[in-house]
Amino acid sequence: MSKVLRHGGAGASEVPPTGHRPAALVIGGGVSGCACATGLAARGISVTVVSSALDAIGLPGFGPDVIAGAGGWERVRETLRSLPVALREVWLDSSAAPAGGDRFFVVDRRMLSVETKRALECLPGLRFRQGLVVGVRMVASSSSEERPRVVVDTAFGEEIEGDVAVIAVGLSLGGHVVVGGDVLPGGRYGEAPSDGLRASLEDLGFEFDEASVEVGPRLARACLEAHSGSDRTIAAERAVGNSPTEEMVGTVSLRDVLVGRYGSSVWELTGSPEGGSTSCWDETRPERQDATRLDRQNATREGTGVGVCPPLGWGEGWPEAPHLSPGLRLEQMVVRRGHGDGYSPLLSPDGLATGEVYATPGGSGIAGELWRSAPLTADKDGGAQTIASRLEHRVRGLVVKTVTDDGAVRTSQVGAGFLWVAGRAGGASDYLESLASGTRVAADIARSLRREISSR
Amino acid sequence: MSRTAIPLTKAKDRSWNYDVVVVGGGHAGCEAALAAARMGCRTALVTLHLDNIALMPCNPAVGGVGKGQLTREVDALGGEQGRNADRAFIQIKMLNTSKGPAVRALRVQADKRLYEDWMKVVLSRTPNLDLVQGEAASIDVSRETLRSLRLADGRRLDCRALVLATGTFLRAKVVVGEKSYAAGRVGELPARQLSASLLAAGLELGRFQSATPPRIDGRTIDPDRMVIQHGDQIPLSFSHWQTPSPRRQVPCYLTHTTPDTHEVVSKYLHLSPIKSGSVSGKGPRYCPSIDRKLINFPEKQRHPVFVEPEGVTTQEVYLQGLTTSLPVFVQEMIIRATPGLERARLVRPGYAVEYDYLPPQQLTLALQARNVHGLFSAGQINGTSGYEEAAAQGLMAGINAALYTRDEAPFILRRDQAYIGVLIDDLVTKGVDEPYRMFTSRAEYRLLLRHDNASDRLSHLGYELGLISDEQMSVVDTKRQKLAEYAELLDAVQVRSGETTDQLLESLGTPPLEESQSAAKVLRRPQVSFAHLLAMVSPADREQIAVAPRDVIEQLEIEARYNGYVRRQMAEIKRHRATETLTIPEGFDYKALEGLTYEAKDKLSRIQPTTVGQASRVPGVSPADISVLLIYLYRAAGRQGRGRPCKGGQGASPYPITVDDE
Repeated sequence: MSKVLRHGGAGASEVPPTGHRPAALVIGGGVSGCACATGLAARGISVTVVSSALDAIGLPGFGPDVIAGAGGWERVRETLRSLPVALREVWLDSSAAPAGGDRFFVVDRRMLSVETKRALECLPGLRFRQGLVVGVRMVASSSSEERPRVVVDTAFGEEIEGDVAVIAVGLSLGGHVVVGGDVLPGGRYGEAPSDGLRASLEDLGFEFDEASVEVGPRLARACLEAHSGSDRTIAAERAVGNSPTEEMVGTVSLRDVLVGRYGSSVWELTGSPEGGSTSCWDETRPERQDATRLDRQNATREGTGVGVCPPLGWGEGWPEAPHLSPGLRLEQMVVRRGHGDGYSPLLSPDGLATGEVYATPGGSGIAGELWRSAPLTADKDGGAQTIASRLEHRVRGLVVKTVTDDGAVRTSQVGAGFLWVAGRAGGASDYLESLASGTRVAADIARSLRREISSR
Repeated sequence: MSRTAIPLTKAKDRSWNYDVVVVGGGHAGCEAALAAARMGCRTALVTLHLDNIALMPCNPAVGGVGKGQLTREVDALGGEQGRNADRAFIQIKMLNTSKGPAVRALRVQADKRLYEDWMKVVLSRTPNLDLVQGEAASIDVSRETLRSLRLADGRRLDCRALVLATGTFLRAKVVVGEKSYAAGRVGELPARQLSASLLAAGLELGRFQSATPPRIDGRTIDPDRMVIQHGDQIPLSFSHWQTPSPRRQVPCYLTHTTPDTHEVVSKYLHLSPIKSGSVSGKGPRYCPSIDRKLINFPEKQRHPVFVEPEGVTTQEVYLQGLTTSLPVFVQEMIIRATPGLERARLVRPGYAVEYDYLPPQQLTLALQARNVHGLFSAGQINGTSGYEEAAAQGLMAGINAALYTRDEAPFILRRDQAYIGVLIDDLVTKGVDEPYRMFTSRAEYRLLLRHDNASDRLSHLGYELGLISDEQMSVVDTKRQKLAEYAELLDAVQVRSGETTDQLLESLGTPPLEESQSAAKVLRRPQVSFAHLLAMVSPADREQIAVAPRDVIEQLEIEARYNGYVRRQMAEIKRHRATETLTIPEGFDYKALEGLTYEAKDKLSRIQPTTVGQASRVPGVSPADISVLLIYLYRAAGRQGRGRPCKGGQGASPYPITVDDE
């Protein structure tokens, strides 16, 4: 009863035509999975993203802060530049940075997710399939000349077959979430776990290390709004020593920051192999096509490069969308000024539509003090009390032991070119590494398939 | 600078104080939390995942016949669903415009992501309302009264009232074919612990099942083989509080299953979870899976399939009519055997979800548990299906939870007042043996409970509760004034018998006028619309009446045409009202009542109806039993007067139930 998802279709391809168009399976649709899938599609490899969370495609699974660290904007620029245009534009549109900082930026997770899915759905040869992956295995091909195939098993009994598979499941291999006094299974808060995938990778001889990530608490945005002035905030400030290194700053769009610093020419990457030039609409639905085309025309902004599936505002006449604000303008954030010249985040808005504020994990500073001290005072005055909308938590999981070929970006090639690992599952430790690793794996897969085909 | 971080576990065993805590962030939970907070209660909405607020896990639509009326009523009472649907719709349509007014209803296709985002924006901007992510683990009950909710992470939320709106999440599993795993929706953790605590509190739980169809990639459908379905061109809106404006809309498509589709289903029917027994809960009869349809209606050659976009930012489309939890490869075969979908690519397989529900006969008409004071429940947990049914219950549970915290009488709507009244009375009186869905046929007085008069029926009650603002009330009052003005005008304006008029009337298939008649009278003819009327009156009169607002015209037409029926229904209500609203004392001892059948004694003791009307609808209670009860109650009433009053229900009769004044 095996259903083979094998896809035809036209499009520019780096891979010479053989019996069939190579098909990749990307398990997981998070940051690295989407970077990888986009990179594969841009190289003419058809790709199916298999994910149990199709409503969270491209979603940075933890906090909204993207830390560049010592690499600063240079690292951000290099990472985003390596992305296929469609995805890069989404990241640029969904991000804002503290005015004057150079170590981190903030993404609107919701906007990034919705827009990533939209952009990826426009790429020919890229498709999504909802499924909780419970196993991956190799099967011999029916014809002896062909190489073996990879089969992914889902919890609903599907068998999805491809030439290669990329494990981009974040921390969900053996993952669990420690929140307060509770331990939840799964690699991201609130998601159904899959133990089967880990077991099947063990069967294939994979070995694992442990990894974990701290996710800070979220507070209602009112906390941030009250940051200056209110009695409670002043009390909280006093409690943390009213530190002069903590300050509230405005935000600017990441695009402006990067373009301002590096000049717009950096983003005009027309003709880059990653970007490709692809048609985004469906030939079979003219009226939808027109609407789409019109939207794209409306939304294409100057200076956004080749305009391949640009993220769109909703054009004239569509309903207003709270999560979409082309040229994202987030509200103010609270930062700590470091000893050098960089900022580090303390309180960051968690997107335009959420009304939540993300506080840096570790619980120090005003954020931690605000929500910790509040319940104690609530009983007395019976008035305002602060409850964390989301508790700080720790996500633990396994990462595939990989051959590190490069200090910053770790990719892995296991199973002789059949199985690849990207993102946190391969040891990436932040969003930028995940993006870079996804992109890199896509390039490696394309190279490997090309080699394979030419050697045949 | 910064002090040593306090360990995480400190969050454990901390407690917070609320008036009302709502468990669940779906359509019921959102309404309940908003209502309670807007009524001034300190409210917390607890949800397993704050990224998943107001999800539409099944169809991307709000409204429809019966359901649309519920949404309008929710809106008229100050709820959010109608407004939110307006913010997010990408197609809007008035259904059944050619049929009677009772079945006329709005339906919108919503962009799912937008719907969620807007609801989250509204929630996060509502004063008094905290959003809390966490798993509700247990309730603390002492002396039959709810005290607090414990979260799995250790936090304790003390509260006076709790609204359960857990949807399909209690001990849930998702199922396809013979495969299943624990999840509240595909990919999401279920609520693992709460059921045990509800059982320990003495509540009964049952098992229900619901299912959703597959989604496909919109780029792979062939619209030429399907019937395109556009929205209405005239601007419409669900909400009473917002002037409709033109909006771009996306089309839907209609296709049908074929004998080929049916052959596939029949061939693999043995793999259906319904047949194989891997789903034990009862599923909805009225939103059946395609496998169920074929079992129940083997003679039908084809079933409609509506192809509906899930949003503007996604290519995914929903296949209404192809609900199934057959194995995925069978789903693909079913889809591809359907015209226009031959090349369709599956994106999300359809699946069934099985979950604990709270048989609603354990609840009072205020949606409060009989045996735990302060515990309310709303939505799918009460054995219903549908976003609209959920929102209606959520609103009522939120209102009643708020009233409970203030020690005020509950807010109850009668069956002749609102579909909401019908819904809740049906649930708590008759119970459910399958997921309950609203239909116009469930309402005895459906000519009164119309889409167009929801605000006339209910907004003054929402105003009294503090959910409708002065501004909104003035919208209602203005409309009623206009209605009265134009009704008067139509009485005064004469339609003269003459060649043009008679020709027009004859062409409409109705006899010519013998003498001049008032416009109001002419409009009573079912064939004559307001537009026709304009052609028959003098230019001066035309100028006067042609400027009437669209909603006023609609209501004038309906009320003129159905005047006779409406009067009859009102008279009927008046006749029944005396016994219908006769209150039965709390804790009434039916066992001591001679002449009642054993079955009636048993059922009535269990349900504890608050009125004779409700008692008469308890399954197994006969008219003879009611007579016995009435004799006793009249005798008792003579001795000690009436029982406890109820807000809304027994209060002043709202329009149009003005029978007493006639």
